[in-house]
Amino acid sequence: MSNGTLDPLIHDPERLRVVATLAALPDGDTLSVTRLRDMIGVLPRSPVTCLRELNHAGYVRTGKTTGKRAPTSVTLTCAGRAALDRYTAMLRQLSRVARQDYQAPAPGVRAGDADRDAAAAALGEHFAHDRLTLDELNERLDATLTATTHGSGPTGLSSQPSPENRSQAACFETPSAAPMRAQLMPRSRRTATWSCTAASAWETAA
Amino acid sequence: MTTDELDPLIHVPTRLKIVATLAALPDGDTLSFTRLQDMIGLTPGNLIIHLRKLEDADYISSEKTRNGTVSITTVALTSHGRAALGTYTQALRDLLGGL
Repeated sequence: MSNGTLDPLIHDPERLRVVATLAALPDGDTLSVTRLRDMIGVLPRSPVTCLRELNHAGYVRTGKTTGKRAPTSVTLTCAGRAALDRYTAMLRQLSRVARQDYQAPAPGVRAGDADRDAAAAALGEHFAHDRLTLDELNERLDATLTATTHGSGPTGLSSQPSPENRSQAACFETPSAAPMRAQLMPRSRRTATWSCTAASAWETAA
Repeated sequence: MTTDELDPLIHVPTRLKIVATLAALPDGDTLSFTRLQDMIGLTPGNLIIHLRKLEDADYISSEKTRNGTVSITTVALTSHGRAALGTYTQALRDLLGGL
């Protein structure tokens, strides 16, 4: 099954009810079909139809335990349990993904006035906390207010205080933490941390 | 509608995705049609049908603003829609138990 879609076999409300009821049983336990029907109540389609569809996909196993008069019992297979797990994980992911999508639009998505205003406000906030110099702020504001798309391309909108070639972590480093980091880190990393403050001087000179 | 019934209007996977996306917005915020289309990955024709169904039930509200030659459609979840999604997720949670 492709990633990002809800299993249609389980998503159907009636089948979902059947699968959820069977999943509540301890592993390997079975339920008679009549008992299942009592538990689920009246549905537009009979549970037997749902069971047939689920049986066909290998999600449930039906069978008679002993003799002809014995009730038909039904149980969820490992495949069925795994499919339900995937399904619930997908549901949980759905709301989370929606949230992330909203907070961080994909690079290349067109930016609107509201996006530009929000990015400009974020830059002002960074300036207020001394994460940007005045020159940097002016430069970024110009770039921000003329940006047409999200992301950090030439016309991109980005409210991060750092240009894309410097890591954000280096930029948010407090002055007191920087020397300590420098001792712990290899030489290449060290220059990256220091270049954070040096770069602003370089940018004004250039 | 009883509480343990899954709202068929929200239950359709595509509409569930639309409603979940709109519910992630802060209250009162709107999303443009094209942006929603990018996020969900639907064709415009497909999306508009689903949006119309949701709008008929007063789950979402859409507003079309004309700015010169371009017109922008923005959609937002209504409080009714937010409540319906809450009921739906609760019903689903009850159904699935601790899963």
